[in-house]
Amino acid sequence: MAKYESVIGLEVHIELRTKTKIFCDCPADHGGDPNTRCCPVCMGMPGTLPVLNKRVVEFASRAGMMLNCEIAHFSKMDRKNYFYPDLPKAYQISQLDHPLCEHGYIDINVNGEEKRIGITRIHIEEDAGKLVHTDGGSGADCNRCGVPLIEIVSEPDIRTAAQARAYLERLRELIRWVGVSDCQMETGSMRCDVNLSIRPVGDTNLYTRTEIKNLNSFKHIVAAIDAEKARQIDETEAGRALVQETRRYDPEKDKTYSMRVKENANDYRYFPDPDLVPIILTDEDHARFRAMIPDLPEERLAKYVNELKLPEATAKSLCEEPVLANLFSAAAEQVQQPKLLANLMLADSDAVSIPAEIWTELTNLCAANKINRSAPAKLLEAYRETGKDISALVQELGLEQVQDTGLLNSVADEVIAANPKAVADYKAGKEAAIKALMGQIMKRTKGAANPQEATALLKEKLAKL
Amino acid sequence: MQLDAKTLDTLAWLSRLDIPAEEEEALSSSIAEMLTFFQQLSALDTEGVEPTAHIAPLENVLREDEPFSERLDRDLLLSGTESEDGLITLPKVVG
Repeated sequence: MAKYESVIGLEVHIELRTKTKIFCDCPADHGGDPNTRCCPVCMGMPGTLPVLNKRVVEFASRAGMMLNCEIAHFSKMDRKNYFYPDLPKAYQISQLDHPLCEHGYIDINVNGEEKRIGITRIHIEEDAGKLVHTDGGSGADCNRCGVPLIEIVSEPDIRTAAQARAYLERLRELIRWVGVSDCQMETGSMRCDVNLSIRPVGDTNLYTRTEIKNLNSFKHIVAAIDAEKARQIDETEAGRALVQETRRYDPEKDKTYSMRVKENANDYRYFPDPDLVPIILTDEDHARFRAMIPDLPEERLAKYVNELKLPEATAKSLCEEPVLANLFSAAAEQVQQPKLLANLMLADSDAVSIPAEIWTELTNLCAANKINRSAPAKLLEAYRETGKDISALVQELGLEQVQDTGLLNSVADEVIAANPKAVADYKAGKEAAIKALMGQIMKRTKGAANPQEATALLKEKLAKL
Repeated sequence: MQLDAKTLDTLAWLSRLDIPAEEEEALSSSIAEMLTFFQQLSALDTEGVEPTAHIAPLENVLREDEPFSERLDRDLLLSGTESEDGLITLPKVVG
């Protein structure tokens, strides 16, 4: 079997996490009852006009920069014409000859072998709607019509299913890292089509390829590549010619099958969309986007471990979620104890909903022993409810750690006077009796006493009795 | 300029049009005539001329990424079409 190799190129569609759709101000996020997140523009009603969302250009450019692409100075939108009931306009607004980004690459590592996979282009386009099939017929839901997508087209540089997987995993990591999409295959915010042909090992020509569409998990992509390669080899060995066609993968049978329904080849009859004017990006625009490109995830991890001295597990937990890592980096600039900050953030189930300056303030209050260690959770809860200043909440909730030795002194005296039995036990050698006295001190100070200071003070006073 | 029957067939399929047999000839010659106009345009020397992306002297017509708070009522939006349970009714597409 080793005498053939597969030649694979991937087309990946990723939904951009903008607030609104690409050409209208409908919300772009998932959910909602059918046809409640659409308008005459994304439903393609006559007389409506699309207007491009500025953030789509920014997000797509940032994605391109993260993938080492050149960003266009001149780009334009084109119409791709085809009939399908989930596409109300009967054309998709996409890009043909002037995509926003071109000539990028991703470096992957499979079993210790480094390989560079070229990226031909990244273009912006609108998503189609969804069809719902019932017994009675089919219904169209236009909520997804006009959700912004980028299509990332790779060079046919991939040779194995393992390389395809490594490419997709790295692609997902980088796009999530640059903060323009959550890239979830399960929800469809990342989708992949595979183009595959085979050739004898050593041959450099490209032969008839097939396209496998609608793969919705990494596992299926890997399995579909193996199944399609095996099928093409069988066909070739049996002397049957391969046909350029679109196929689907059936995971139950672990086979691909032809989707071809019409003999006529589709012809998209692309032409420049007369409703949309060219996109011109200046060097200043490029520089502005460039300034938003973060360091690579592995560089960030190394920085957390080597410079901020975080344990590796802590650093990894932060870097898994790009939004969390960025928030941590912002807050860490103003704190002396980054490890304490990391622990506070990771202990909170929704750390990203709290602004960086609040994390900084909390960490610094903790580090200076101004609040006790159980205070942050109470303060965060109160902050979420009221949105008040942390310093005001510390006062209001009485969470200050008592620094006032005069107060601590008098509380300790009161506690000793009020608990003669515990005092006697302690003096008789039962050291554990001091815990009862400590408990009383914490109760009378509402937990605000510094435990180390209070214990030392108690011991000192008891020794003098 | 000639338009053969096969090309007309393809064009009709791409446009999802059923063209009655008796109209084919008239339509063919009418389209052929239009193509002749384009042939005349093609005769122009466009050497060194930048392809035109848009006829209006405009660029970067963009909007901010801000949602519009007032949404059109779904009943109004779907009033021009047949619908059921909020879905636009279609002929059966699959299965």
